[in-house]
Amino acid sequence: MALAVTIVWAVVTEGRAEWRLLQHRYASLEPREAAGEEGGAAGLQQIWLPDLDRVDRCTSCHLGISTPEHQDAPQPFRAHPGRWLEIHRPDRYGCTSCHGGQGEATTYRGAAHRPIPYWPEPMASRELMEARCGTCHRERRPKGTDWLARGRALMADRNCVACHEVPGHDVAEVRAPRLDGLALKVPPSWLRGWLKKPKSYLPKSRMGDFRLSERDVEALTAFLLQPHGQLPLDRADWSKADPEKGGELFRASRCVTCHEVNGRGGTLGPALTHVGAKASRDWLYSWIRDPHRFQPKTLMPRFRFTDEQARDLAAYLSSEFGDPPRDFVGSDAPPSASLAKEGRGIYEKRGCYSCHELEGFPSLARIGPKLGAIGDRVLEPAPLAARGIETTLPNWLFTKVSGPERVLESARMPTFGFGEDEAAAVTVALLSLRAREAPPGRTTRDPAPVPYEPQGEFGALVRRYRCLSCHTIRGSGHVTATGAPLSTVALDRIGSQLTRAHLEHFIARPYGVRVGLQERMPHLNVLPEEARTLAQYLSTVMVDDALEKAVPTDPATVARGKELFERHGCIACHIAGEKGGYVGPELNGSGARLEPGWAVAWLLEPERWKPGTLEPDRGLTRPEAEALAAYVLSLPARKAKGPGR
Amino acid sequence: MRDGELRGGGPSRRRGEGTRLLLPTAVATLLIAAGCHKAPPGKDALQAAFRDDALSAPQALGHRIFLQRCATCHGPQGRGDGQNAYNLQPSPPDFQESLARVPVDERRRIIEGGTASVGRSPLCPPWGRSLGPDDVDAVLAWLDAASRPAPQAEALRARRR
Repeated sequence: MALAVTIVWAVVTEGRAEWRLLQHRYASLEPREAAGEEGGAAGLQQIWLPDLDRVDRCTSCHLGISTPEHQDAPQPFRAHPGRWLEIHRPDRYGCTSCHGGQGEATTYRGAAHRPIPYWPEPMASRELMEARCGTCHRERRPKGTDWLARGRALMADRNCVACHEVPGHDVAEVRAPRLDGLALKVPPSWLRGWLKKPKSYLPKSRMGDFRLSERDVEALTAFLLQPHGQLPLDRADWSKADPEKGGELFRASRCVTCHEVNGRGGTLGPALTHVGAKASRDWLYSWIRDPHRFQPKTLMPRFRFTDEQARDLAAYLSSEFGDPPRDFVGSDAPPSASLAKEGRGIYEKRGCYSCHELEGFPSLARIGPKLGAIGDRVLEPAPLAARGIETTLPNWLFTKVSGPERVLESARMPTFGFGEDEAAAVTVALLSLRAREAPPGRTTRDPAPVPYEPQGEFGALVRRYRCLSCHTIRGSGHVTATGAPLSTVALDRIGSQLTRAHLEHFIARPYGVRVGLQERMPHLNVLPEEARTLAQYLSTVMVDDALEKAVPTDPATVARGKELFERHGCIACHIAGEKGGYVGPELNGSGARLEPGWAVAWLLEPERWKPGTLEPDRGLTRPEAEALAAYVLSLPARKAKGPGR
Repeated sequence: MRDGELRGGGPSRRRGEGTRLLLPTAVATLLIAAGCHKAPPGKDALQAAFRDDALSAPQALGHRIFLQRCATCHGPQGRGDGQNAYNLQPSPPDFQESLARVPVDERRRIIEGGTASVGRSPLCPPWGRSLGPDDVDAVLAWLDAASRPAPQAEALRARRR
């Protein structure tokens, strides 16, 4: 009897299962098409992917998902938006690999379409799906992602890898000043204020706030201002210093390309708005003369300034930017030496030496937990519940990244002061780190970096002028917090793009080729013979043979090019003759600047050479591109214009 | 149980001695039972951070692309005030005023094929090949939001919140 009841119950419930009813509805929705394709009720659908450990039955209800004609059908029958299924075929990737959720379920609720508390795999929101992209796409900037790429770049910029083991991040990327000789650089007042709240001095500080007590600040100040590995400072005759000349030099050298002043300028180096309150005049002078002596890993080039220029520049920085920020507080009393030992203890406990080198300390602490499986962390709900936040792993990570003290008051991790959107991006990047990695054939990675160390005379100049702080060669070079190098000009084939004469001229006296560009190359005062050496090396070694092609220059071709130039409205962005726009480079005299083969290749495939460029791909044919290049390169230089700044 | 805790308990105050404890107990039991299925109510802090900018995801992507490729001439919000706008004759239009008159498929034609493709000046170049169809869709989604007159856009933003 019991058996009979069970069987009847089973038949009835199975017959009226959600997915079965939906299949009937789908069949009645578009009888002709559905019958043709699925044969009416198609039965339970299943995609089985053993290597991804997935069994997805989503297509039992999402019957129109691969049928583009159903783009406006009611859910759950609507076609997948965009072209995603062309690159991620459902039979190869399933559905839950990207969307999350419970693939084996055959009911709306069971599939976890909406988050169910404590459910390990709820379906991901559109933004959180990027974390799932990142589990297979291990590149630093996976294509088409926004939050994920930004989160990974932020993690690299904030040196997460110094304390945590993070897959895909390398300790060689850690960047922070070494602290030897700090007593000769900063006054106690500055160090106290900085340790108390780094962002009160530098609003864009990469260092977090360690939430130190007054006593901790005192102790650390005492410890750090002890003489550690001091290098003697250079001395200048300050009575002869001319801050005004220093100011002119500051502007002419384009220091603002890397340093922010009063809220404007680059972010490659620290803002200089209050640098006079931080660094002593003698230290600034010594630093400008040779930054590499103090910080061998610094991004700052060793400008070729005379001693007088370095002195004037230091005097300008000290006087012009000498005031501390308004709410920056720290007493100037010498710290009590008796606290130094305690300070040393804090320095060790908080893992300061993970980022900052200091004489007598190992270079890496790794005091934080490994993050390789953080996307599968089991969490304790109490801290979130107390804050009225839904207990989910994404929320927990978001709260922790926003302020570690909100999850655990005694946390050792500093508060990085991320904005909400930044914390959200880092959360997405963290959630992409899963215990179970996708099998190798399913993952994509950045090509392994080939260590590139330029050799010889060229190498010495590249290191002195820190070319690779902004440019890249074979993928080597500094990457900013946006995930891209500062300069969009890679040097890999620069010798086939620009003429040797122009390279030499530009390196010696850089000027704004693209007039609208903010980050212009600084005036490094490269010596003429150094510029010649660099140009010679670049035009013989940094070349791409495929670009070395001549362009016909006969009058008929040039005339055809002129006609194309006008038809395509190139004048909207480029100056040619006396008229034109201020977007791309001026084209007058470009024959002296550009190699013809490059001009053609650029016009044919701008996106290939510089993804995201403002030069549109017009789909030109090769003869068209050649004619256009021939015309552009024939434009004579304007007489009045010299190399400006 | 202290007296003060019950005083705030609402309806139970008017009931007799016998039921004074019964109702809160029942409510508590129900709450505990419900707790087995539902987490304590709370806000989704992360999702709130994602949605801060009041644009939908495709619109936000579209705006990023617009800022990168179009804003030099069209201005950051499409008001025709980009830094290169004054060099152009005809100058770029203010989308808030004029775009509503342009049908969506013509907008797509202009983005993909340039203004010359619809018989106008060649100053706005073709972006179809550089962007690809998905990015063009995103830009169109943003343009739709940007082309509404200001009050309407405000109302839209308010509704989303």
